[in-house]
Amino acid sequence: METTDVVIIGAGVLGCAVARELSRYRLSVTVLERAHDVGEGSSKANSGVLHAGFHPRGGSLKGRSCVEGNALMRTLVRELQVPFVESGGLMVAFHDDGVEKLRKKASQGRQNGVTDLSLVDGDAARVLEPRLSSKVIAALVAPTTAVVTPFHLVLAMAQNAAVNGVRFRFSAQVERVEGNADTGLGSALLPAGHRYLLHLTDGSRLAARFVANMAGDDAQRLDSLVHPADYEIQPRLGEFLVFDKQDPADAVTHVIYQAEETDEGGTLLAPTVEGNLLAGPTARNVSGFDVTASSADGLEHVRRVALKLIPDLDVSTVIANFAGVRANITNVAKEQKDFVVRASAEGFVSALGIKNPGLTASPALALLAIDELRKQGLRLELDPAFDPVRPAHVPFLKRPAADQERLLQEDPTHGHVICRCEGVTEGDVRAVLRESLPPHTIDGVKKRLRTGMGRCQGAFCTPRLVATMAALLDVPETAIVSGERGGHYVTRMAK
Amino acid sequence: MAEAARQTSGGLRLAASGGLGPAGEPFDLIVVGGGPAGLAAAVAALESGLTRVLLLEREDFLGGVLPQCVHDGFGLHLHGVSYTGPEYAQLWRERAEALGAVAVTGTTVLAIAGPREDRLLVVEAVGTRLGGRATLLSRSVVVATGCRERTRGQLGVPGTRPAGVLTAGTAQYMVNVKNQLPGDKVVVLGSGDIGLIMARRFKLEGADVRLVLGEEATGLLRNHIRCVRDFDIPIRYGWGVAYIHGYGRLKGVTVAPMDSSGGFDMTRRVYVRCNVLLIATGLIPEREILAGCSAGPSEGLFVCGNASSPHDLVDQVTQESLAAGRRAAEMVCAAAGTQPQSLSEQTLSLLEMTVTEPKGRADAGMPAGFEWAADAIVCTACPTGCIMRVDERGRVSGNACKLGRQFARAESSNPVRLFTGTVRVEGADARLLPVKTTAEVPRAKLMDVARACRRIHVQAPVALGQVVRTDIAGTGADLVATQTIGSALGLSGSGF
Ligand SMILES: Cc1cc2nc3c(=O)[nH]c(=O)nc-3n(C[C@H](O)[C@H](O)[C@H](O)COP(=O)(O)OP(=O)(O)OC[C@H]3O[C@@H](n4cnc5c(N)ncnc54)[C@H](O)[C@@H]3O)c2cc1C
Repeated sequence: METTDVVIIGAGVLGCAVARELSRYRLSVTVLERAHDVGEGSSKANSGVLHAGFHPRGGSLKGRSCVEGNALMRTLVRELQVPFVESGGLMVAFHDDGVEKLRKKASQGRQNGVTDLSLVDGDAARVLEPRLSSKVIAALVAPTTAVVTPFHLVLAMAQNAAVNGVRFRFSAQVERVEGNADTGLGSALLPAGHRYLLHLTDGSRLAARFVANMAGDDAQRLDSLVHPADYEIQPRLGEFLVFDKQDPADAVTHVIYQAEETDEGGTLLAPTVEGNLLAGPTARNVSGFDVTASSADGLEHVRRVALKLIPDLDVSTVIANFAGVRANITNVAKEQKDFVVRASAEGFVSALGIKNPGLTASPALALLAIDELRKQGLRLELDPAFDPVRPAHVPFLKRPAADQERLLQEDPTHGHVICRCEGVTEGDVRAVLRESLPPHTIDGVKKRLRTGMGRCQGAFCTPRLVATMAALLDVPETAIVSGERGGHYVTRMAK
Repeated sequence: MAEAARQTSGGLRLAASGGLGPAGEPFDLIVVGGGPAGLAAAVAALESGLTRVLLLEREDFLGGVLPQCVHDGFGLHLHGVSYTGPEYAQLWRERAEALGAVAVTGTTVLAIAGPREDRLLVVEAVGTRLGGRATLLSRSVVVATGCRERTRGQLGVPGTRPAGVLTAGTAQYMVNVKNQLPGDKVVVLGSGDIGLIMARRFKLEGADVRLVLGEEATGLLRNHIRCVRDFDIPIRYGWGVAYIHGYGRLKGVTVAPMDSSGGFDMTRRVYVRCNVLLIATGLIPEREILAGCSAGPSEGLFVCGNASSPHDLVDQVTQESLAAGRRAAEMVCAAAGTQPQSLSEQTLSLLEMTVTEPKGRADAGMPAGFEWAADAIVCTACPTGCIMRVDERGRVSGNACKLGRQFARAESSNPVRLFTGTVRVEGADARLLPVKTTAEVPRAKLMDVARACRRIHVQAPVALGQVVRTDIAGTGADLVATQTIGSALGLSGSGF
């Protein structure tokens, strides 16, 4: 029987943060991920904002882990070479009661450990962000608010974990978890010290000493197999609009929140690392975690809020829309709602209801989860071979001339531009198809290289990408699928 | 082999062409984009006597979008002949080549900057055949980069993001160049020319084209006739796509009439099952490479063809671009204190012709949702599109010329059409060879000809005009190649 010290269920931002952190130690760690790639759940489609930590209730786990995560992230992005922009954040008020709310947020923030918040008037806010609405009368300024490309963060943590010995298994969906007789959660006969047997939907099984249940939308179901069910978690969708690359001369550079909105629906504006502008999300209950369709009303709401904040925004420069789904706890009063990271059974830790600001908090929540496992007997012995650095793939066109010359000698396809909007060459595609945890789909390449994310939305690059992928993977073009949920780009050869 | 051949068609030729003078010496003109606009600009500049003219093209072939436009209707105004796209491209490619033009394909221009203090413009390019990344200097630059298409994201259509939603031009490239079919149950959003032409292409490839939707009736009338009405494809004006369904693969679209405020009347919505949605809702000039460039015509920077604004006819593009190439040459010569050579007779006569706006547009005076009068005949002999009638005694009215009268008579008895399409080609980098029939064939036989084409394989090399099949599908007409394709020489096959 296959065995491992720690099994991590889910390769979202949380699962990958736990994996990367555990890869420091002399342990055998296996990540089981239902999808074909990392970061396919909530971690893929979100705002990518590293919040400062003034949104959540003062002193809550959400608040503390957000502030701590925001601080830890700085080392992480440096070691893992993840592009990151310290944009700063502004929460703006249009009315007096909004100003009241800003004061409340400021004091909450301080309770959570944000030390550098300041309240300024509308004019001062417009000095920071000149295109901000003239109707804004005050703003809370948060210097530590930052932005990151969520998928790149997840991938970087996963790749670094993999290099340091963590095993990733994809298309590996955990169907159920059974304990050995000691746990009172079953009667699985397992090698000494292995408390849990994980049954996968493909029929395979894996014995583990410890389990970290970081399964996002499925975490509650898995938790209920080892702990009396206590939380109800429902899908809540958020929709976004993506604007074309901004003109650096008058770009919106801060993350802009508004005080009038509730935290939940908090539609915001965020510049992205790549220079686009993102507006969203909405907050709408949907029937399943796989329901990621955008609605006309939702997109209209986002447009309205975006224009309220920056009235001269050119909505004709929208190039795409998308949506992501959060894991929302529904049976706890709003004022008491919080992240849940706990040992639900002996040697079994779960993270439940990790929605916003889960991306920001992930490094802190990972430490917390690991600490819970330590308390349950997990031995953390540093592995001297641990290498904290992950070299990022630098696209050919962003490299210095000397590098470019060398690469062209090695592989002339580096000079062949495949995606003109984002400046991606065939050599870049070849490189990511060969790196650790490689993509298998058009979306997988897109998440890594941004092919198809630009203003032409894949019109130019996709047929070329399909041909390149088919040639490199040695499959027919009709075998290349669009994304996680299938979708052949070429259904058959025309003749 | 293919690789080596490509080298000859690009980098080596650049190095070997002594005419370009010493390395590092600035160019007289760099033309960005090798479509009809770029080719015409290069022709005019070379005829004007510029010697250091370099044409850069990101594709592996010259011709821009024309090689994928396998249908006919190009060049009627300037040349008096209804060429297919590949034929028109080859015509201009050969003219440029005859003048000794130097083109480097597979090369993408990233940015244009300047003018510098020495008044030179800076062109940043990358391409394998250029030996990687290069900074090129030039006294003048013509930007002929064409258009890109509006996408679903720009339209803001809500719903899911499945495979099968693509722009019409991308589908055209896939079907006509790459031999890839993105699906077989098609809805087309947009009743402009590109949408209509792609509706027919999919139909001829055996797909079920379920519906064409248009905000308003745009596009040339002859395309409405030859692409939609000929094939009984349903078309609805004033309707749009309100929602996209299906994860992974497109499952269907919700269509609805548009109201005056730009929204949809969802009470009248209809669900249409399909696995391809073609977005054909307009073109946007592609000029982003100029973002960091302050130069204009007086600094030697010219923009022409669809990069300046989308044109209805390639004839207009050619004229405008000949003029741009000429102006660039005049500027370069003036700076050097010399006189440009005079243009060839042929070029001068092309510049002098008047290209009339096609009046036969579906939106010309026709209300949204109009129905054709059952006996109306729209002339498709040229893009003008006269609307004619033939009475019981065979008298034609509404025509503007003799051709129209002949057309109306034929149309009322035995309608005939030119067939254009593709066949498989082997032994070349290209996958498909564009073809047409040597004569018009009975309309009722178009699908038979298309089916016959699916069974034909041709061995490269093939020359333009070469007969691929005689008496195709028993029509009496021959099927001929509309492009020269060398053996493994890249799509242009013209060795340049
Ligand atoms: C619209 C929106 C906007 C947001 N904006 C921000 C923001 O700006 N800043 C911020 O900090 N946070 C933001 N968040 C929150 C953040 O995205 C989430 O908190 C975070 O991604 C949660 O990560 P996760 O790893 O817990 O879950 P997920 O990313 O959902 O990962 C769970 C993984 O587990 C896998 N899995 C599930 N079940 C099984 C099983 N049985 N077996 C094997 N694998 C399984 C899934 O496939 C998935 O890969 C936003 C969220 C949304 C939806």
